[in-house]
Amino acid sequence: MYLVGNASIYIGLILAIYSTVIIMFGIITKKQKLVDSGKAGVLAVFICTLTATGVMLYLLATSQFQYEYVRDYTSSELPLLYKLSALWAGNSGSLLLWTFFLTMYTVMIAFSRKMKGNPMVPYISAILLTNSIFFFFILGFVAKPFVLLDQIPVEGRGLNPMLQNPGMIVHPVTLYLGYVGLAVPFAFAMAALILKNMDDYWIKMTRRWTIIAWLFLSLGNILGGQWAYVELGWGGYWAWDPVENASFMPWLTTTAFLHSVMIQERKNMLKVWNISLIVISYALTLFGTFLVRSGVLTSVHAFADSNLGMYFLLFMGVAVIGALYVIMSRYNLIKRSAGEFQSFISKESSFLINNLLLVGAAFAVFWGTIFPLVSEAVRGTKVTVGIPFFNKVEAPILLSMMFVMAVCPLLAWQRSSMKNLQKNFLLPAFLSIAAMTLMVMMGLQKAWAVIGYGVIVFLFITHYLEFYRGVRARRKMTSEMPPVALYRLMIKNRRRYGGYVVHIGIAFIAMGIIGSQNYDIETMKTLKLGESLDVEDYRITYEGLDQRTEDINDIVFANLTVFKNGKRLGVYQPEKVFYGNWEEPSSEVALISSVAEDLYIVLSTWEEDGTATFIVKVNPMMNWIWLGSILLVIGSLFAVWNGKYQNITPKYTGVTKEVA
Amino acid sequence: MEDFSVVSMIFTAILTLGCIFLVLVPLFGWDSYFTVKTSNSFSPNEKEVLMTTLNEIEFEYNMGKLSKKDYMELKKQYELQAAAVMKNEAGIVETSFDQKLLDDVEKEIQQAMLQYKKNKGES
Repeated sequence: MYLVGNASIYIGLILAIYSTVIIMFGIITKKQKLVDSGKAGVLAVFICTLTATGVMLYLLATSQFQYEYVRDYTSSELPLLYKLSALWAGNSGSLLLWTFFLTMYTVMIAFSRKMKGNPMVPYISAILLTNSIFFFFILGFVAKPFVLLDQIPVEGRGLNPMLQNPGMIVHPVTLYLGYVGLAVPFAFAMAALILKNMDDYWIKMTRRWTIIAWLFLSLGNILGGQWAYVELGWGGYWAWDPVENASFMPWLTTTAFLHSVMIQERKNMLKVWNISLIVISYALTLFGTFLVRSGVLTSVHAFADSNLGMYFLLFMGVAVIGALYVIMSRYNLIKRSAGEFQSFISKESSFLINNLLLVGAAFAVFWGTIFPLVSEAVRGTKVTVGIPFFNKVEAPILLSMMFVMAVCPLLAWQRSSMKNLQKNFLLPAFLSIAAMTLMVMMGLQKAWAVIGYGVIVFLFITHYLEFYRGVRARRKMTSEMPPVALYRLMIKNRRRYGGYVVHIGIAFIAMGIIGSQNYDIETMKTLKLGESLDVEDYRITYEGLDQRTEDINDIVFANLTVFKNGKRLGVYQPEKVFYGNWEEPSSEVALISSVAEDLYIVLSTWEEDGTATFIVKVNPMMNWIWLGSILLVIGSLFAVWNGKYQNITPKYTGVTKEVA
Repeated sequence: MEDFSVVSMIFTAILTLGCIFLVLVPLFGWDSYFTVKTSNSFSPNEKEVLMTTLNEIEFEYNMGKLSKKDYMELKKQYELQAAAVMKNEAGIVETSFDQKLLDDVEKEIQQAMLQYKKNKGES
């Protein structure tokens, strides 16, 4: 297996170099045979990564501890699923997975039925292959996955217990799929520029890829938050950790791109902006990897045991400079825009504001993330930027974004008259002000929360009206029954209505965030046996402390009887797990979840006399976050499902000028 | 501690030879699977694009997002463009629009719109 694993990496590297060179040579000499050989090389490269990944999974599953990677991240008692998930527990394994996804995407594009015969394919393949060369180089010379130890250890070091969670099986995979996925629109954009093919064809071909990459990035962030919530035992789900920020920044810029691209499609505008957003999003994925792998910043994500980050920084530099060169050399071509903004009150104006807010939010996160590095370079001391900074800066930006999101459906493309806007604005505005008044009367005192919920109510109403008026307009034109009209309206405008479902999902997530951030209650108390603790409507009675053994792990747990408003909910057991092969224990929280709130109990410490200390939190509206996430996934899938590349987008040419 | 077993050597040889074979096939033209002819990229018909635009404008007007004045102006603008495209398609060379011709073209656009909506399943 040693031979097969290593050979597949080095053969992959040679083939990736060969394919890139032969494709470029084929393009220059206009020899189709050479390009075709390069394309076949794309498939061969994928077979190599498939083999290497297969070999690694086999080694992990069969506990071949003579391999350094298997020894470092698994142990024999680990369930099979976690043994396999150790593929992305360490540097070299996760980069192997990354390379696998990258080559898989390259094959999917090079041999795509829809792209067959398209002159962009060789360029896209060459750009993606250049990425693969970098990853193969890393796997072959820097973070080698198949390194043999001098002596075979009896047992492996085991997988970090924090990673032994279903969320952790999926979270890294989705993030990688998102990260790698952003290389695809980047390659399309560069290919279009090189070919001087600056119509919106590349955008049409790539929008599905971008939505899919965005969906995976969203899922990666959400699952990461969910994992942190149930596994880390601190009661939160987002800590503005540099690594969380690393995946949030490309998410923000890709969200901006998904909106501004519609302006280019319809009005042939913002070409430079869109290309820049794609380059920035792609560069941010590499920057994120640099942060994760370099260890320059303190993070809960422990990948920082090598100089890998510097290679990513270098590669990012080369990619960005290369992209800038291509953009500048084609600048005259892309700066020509046929369209223009005709009215401040139009859908495109709202998209532009939304773009500025999203990019502003991304910049604020970027600045907060790199500030410790900047302060160290300038003043010699590393100043850490904490959660309050991010919350203070991001909350108003993201709230403004929600407002724009709410107004956007009321606007038409090209121009909306103030009169129409007022007419459409009046009812939602009145109802949301009424809702805000009601909230204040019900005792909600925090201004930000009330404003936030008011904006969200506004968003719900405008989106409801968008569906309602859409059905009504369709019925006017077709006389269909309302459910039929709604169904057809949605499936014939998948991207628009899928997008609205995503907006509603984001609104749910925002409601959960506002509720859990503003109205959470936390208490810490030491209880004697039989004593109770009252938190809000809950009474928690401490019944006793016990211990059990599971495999090589010792588990200490408390028995707690929980009552809500006097009604017994049951016995719950927060745990502290001491691992046989890991130094640090972990907390397994007791979680009682409902639509309104979560009761979150952590067993903190205990004494020999049986007293135990508990951290108890009541987190309102947590399930709204997960519900919103599900809606976000449904909306994204709906938008890309069965989408036809050849769907025609309306085009607005601006005012016809007879004289100028 | 390297394990160069016979099985792993056979696997590696198969992998190497298989990959070499794959990239050589197109060079020697042994198989035409990887050989593709280049084709033009998808470029939607201008008339269809204008029909879609007119359809969206009408839809947005029906949804109350456009005022009647804006709607009529925009409709007129894109109908004129559609008329020009349709005239070009029909090979008619005219330098200016007369009312009768405009009415004829308007009728033709209405018919094309109906056909378009029928194809989109809207009627």
